Amino acid sequence: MSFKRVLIANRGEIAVRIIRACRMLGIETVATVSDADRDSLPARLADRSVCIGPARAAASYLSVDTVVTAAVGCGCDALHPGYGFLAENAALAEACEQAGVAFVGPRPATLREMGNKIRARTLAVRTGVPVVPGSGDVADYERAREVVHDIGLPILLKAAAGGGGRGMQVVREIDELRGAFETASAEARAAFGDGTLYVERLISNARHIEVQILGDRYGKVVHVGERDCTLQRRHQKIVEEGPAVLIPDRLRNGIRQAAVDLALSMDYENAGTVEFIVDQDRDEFFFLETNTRIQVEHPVTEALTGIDLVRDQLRIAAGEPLAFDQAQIRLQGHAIECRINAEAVYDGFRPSPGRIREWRPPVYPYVRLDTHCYPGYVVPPFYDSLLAKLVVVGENRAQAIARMQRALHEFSVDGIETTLPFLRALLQRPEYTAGAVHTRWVEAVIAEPDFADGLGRRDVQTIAARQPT
Amino acid sequence: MIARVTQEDLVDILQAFEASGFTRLELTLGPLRVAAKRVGAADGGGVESLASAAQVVAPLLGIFQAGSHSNAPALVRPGTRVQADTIIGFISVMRKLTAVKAGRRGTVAQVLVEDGQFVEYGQTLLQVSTQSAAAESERPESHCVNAR
Amino acid sequence: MPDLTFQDVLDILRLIDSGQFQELEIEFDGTRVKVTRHTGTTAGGTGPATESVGEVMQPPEPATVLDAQEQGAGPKAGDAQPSTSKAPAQRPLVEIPNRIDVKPPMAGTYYAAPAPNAAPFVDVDRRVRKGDSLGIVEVMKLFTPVLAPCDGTVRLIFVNNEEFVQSDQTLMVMQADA
Repeated sequence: MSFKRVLIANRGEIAVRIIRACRMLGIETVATVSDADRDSLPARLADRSVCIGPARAAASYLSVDTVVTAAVGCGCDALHPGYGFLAENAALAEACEQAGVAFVGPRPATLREMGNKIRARTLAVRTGVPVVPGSGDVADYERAREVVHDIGLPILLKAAAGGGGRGMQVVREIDELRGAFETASAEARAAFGDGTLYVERLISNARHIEVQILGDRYGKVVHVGERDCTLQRRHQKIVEEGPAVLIPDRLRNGIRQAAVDLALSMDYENAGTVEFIVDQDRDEFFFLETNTRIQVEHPVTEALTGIDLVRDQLRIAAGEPLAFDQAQIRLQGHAIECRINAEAVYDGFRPSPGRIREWRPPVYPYVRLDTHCYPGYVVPPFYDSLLAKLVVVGENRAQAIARMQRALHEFSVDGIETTLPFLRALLQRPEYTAGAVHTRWVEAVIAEPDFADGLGRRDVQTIAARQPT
Repeated sequence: MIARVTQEDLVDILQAFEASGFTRLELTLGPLRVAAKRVGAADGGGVESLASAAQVVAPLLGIFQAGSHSNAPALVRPGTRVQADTIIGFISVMRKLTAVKAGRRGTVAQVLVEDGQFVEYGQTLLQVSTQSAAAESERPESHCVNAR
Repeated sequence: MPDLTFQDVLDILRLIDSGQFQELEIEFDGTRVKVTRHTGTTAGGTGPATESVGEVMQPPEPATVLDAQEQGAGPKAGDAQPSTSKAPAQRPLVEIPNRIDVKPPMAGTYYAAPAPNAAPFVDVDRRVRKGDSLGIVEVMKLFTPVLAPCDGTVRLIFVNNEEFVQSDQTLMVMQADA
């Protein structure tokens, strides 16, 4: 069986991506748009678009009742949530189930289980997958000291209740521990009303490696290779690549197997990603979390394997078994993806919405561009700043890097600020080409005193010069 | 190039218009366009259709319900006089009802949706003719409801 | 022609309010302001409606505009008849000494409170210290606080919660400590 009509409960490039996958399967599409997205590319490409609310996402793209009502009202038999917004929302998956609309994603129970970081960690431990060494709740400084004695320094003190860096302290020397404990606990109490802390080993020389998995309704799970997403700024990925050739084969195979084991242990259905952190000093890996959705960087995997992950998501949700075995999945060459955002890098990554005057992407046989942008498009200020994902594939990492450098240099955008100058600079760095980077490397580069020189100001002047005075 | 129009210029223009015997003004100066109509201007002309029919739009996506409960008669039909706070129907989303108010005083000119119809955010539900209502001297309302 | 600012539009609206207009439409570089007054009743009826087209966002509701009676407005604003036909939240004409206009750090969606159900950062006549948060502006998921530019008292607030504001828009007026 296959779906007849799919509601796309998302916007931007991923909405375009889902519409295209549906078209190739002969499935009709209904795009949901906010008032600010009525003229967007997804609205034009879909067979129908339906306005679900005002620009404010809380009243449109984040409203479970509204998107389910839209799906039923438009006669859809399935709903694809994309990523972000409601993609990992168990309430949406349940509401779909009750309305008789297939949710293109994991079962509600899986979404709920993996959405809770502590339960996810517990499940990993039970499955025999390593987690970052640390403790449960530590009641006081004395207990924290005992934990540090066991796992060694440096460590991270984290708020049990929180996230976003609040109530978090790095401890490198043992005499810092008491002060850090008090500060972190006070911060956590102020921010979350709960001063409980736990301890985690600080992995300073870390890589972020994640494994793409697919599971069907009949208990079959495969991995579709891994991606290296070490280049991040403030926990936002900037550049992703695959396969992870920069870590030893032994580790890579262990990570892939751990991801499959974890997925099997929860009867994982549909596409997902299991994230790991690799300690490059000790050659160890640890489970971080599972993302129960299609990811932004999924095209890296598609470029390596030729597998259309969104198409398989739709097939799995329609009850079809996986059409291939693990042995049939082959990774060929090396792929890199760069996220191009509407941000002025030289001005502290200031968001830069507005009208795109010029949009000239590079065209090569080895280039793929996932985007909802076009010349004249007005990037609205209400949503995230992702404009496009530029993906190249090469026979090996060196060739892929050279191709990406060329593609970035050819890509020309005017009217708004983009992160293109920043990406060009990053990918030319010898540390990047040599693979000698870690998850905090990008922020270290940004902190260099002469970092902003030549990153975009030139482009601004070019734009100003072109405008009639 | 047309000389730049400043705020003071615009004020002068409007004051001159107000002091004059003219009833209607339309002015275009470069990027600036001004159209004004004075109180007491005869309503027989062509331009004042500008505000004669107002649209009542769906404040959210859902199923339009014309009556106070399903199968109940419609709350309004063409010719029904409405006040700003008159409920003209409901939008049902997952069995939760949201009342839709007329938002202005007038007479229902046209109902564009049927009971039970799926409506989008911002879709026009009905048109209210406001001109006739303005001519009638109904009791003043104690408060003002904005349509938006 | 950047001569016509948001402040000018406020002044013009005030002028119209004091005049004998029934309907006025001003269009400028993509922003259209249309004001209609229904005559025949004194207290209310349909309030003035504003709308805008193009990319430029909607100016504040007229009720807010009428709140904003300040000294040094349009040339005739001082003579304006106290309007009897409009919103109730009218403030008396006051002169604000040591006046400091508060503008947002960038264009975006303005939030008056730190969380949806929380109390707003400030109200009118609240004392604040330089650097206190007066609001938050969000653009593309980046949240930037609006900080008090000086020690003083918040005297006028022109902006509504969740309203889209331009970077040159006056959000509030403070009276700086002498």
